Amino acid sequence: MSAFIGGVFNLAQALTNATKHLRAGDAILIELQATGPNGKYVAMQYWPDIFSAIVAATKKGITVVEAAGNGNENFDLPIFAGTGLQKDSGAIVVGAGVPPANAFDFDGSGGFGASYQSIGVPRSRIWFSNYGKIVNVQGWGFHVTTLAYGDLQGHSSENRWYTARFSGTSSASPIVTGAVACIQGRAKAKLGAPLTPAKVRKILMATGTPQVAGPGVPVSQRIGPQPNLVKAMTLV
Amino acid sequence: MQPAVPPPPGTPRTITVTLKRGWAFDEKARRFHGPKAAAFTPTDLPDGVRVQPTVPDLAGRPPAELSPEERDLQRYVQVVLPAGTLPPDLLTAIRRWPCTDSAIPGPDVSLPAPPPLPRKQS
Repeated sequence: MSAFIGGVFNLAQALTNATKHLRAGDAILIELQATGPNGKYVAMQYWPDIFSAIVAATKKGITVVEAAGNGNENFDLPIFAGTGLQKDSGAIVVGAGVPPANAFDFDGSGGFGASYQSIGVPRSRIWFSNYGKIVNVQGWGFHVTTLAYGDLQGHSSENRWYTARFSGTSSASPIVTGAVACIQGRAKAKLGAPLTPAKVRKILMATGTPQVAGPGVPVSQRIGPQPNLVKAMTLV
Repeated sequence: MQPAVPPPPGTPRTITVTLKRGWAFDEKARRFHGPKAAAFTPTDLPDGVRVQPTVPDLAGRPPAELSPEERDLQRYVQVVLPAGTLPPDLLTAIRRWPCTDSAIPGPDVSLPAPPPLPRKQS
C-alpha cells in the first residue's frame, strides 16, 4: 500500500487503510525512514500520528514490523524523550546486523560501502543502524540477495532483475517479516488462531541468537538478537 | 554515507500537527472547532498551504463510535506546504494556534537501503 496519498506522504493514513483491510494474524512492514531532529534518519514511529496508527494496527492483532532506519542514531538520547522512539508502539522494530560471510562478499568487488570483511563481526550492529531500547531484533543488513536493481542478474525485462547487494534496515526488516509470517502460519495451523503481536515479538526476542559486540559497536548499542526461526517454532 | 533511496522529486513537505484534546478541523469550513464552541481560523498561512486531517476517514466521525486508538488518530492534522516552503518557515506560527498541542516537521521520507546500482546486462 502506497504511503503517497494525493501526492502527499501520509503514512498514518496508509497504515489506517491497511488496518481496515487486514485481519488479526496479518503483518504490515514499514520499510521507510525519515530525518529526525538531529538530522539523522530515524524510525517512522517518531512521528506521533504514525505511532498512533501503529498502535491501532497492533491492537487489532496485526503484527507491524518496522525498520529502525540507517541513521547511526541512538534512540535513547534525551532529545527523544516522550517521542515514539522511547515508547512501545507494539511494533517489532528491526536493526541492521552484520550477516554471515558469503562468496560474493568475499570477492570484495565493491558495490555499496565496502566488502564484507570491513563491515564487522556477524550479529554485531552495522555502523549505520539505529539502536536503542525500542529496537527489538536484528536482521541481515548488508548484501542480501533479492529482487530488483539488476546488478546480480540483468535482463530486458525488469521482472527478471536480481541484486546481491540489498542492504540497510531495508533488507533486515523484510527478513523478520518473513519470520513473523512463518510463526503466524504455524500458530493458525496448530492452534487454530494467530498469536498476538506482543506474543510474536516476545518469541522472536526470547529465542533469537544474541547480538554480539564488534569494533566500535558494543552490545549496549542495542539492536537485539537475530531471530532463530527453528527455535521460535518450538514456542508456538 | 548512509544507505537511503530518496523520495520522489517534488514531494511536498508537511508539518505534523497534534491538536489539543477536544479540537477538530472542519475541512469544508477551513476552521478548527474546540470545546465550549471555541473556533479558530488560521489566517497566518501563505498562499498555497493546505490544511487537512491526517486520516480523513475518521475526521467527521462521532468520537463515541470510535475506538480509543481511532479517537487518538482524529487529533492529527497535516499542513501541506507548497514547493519551496520548508517546515521551519511556519512552525512558530502554527505552534501559537490555540488548537495546537504540538507541531513538528513531517517526515521527509526515504527508503533505508542503498540507492540502486547500475543494471547489469546478461
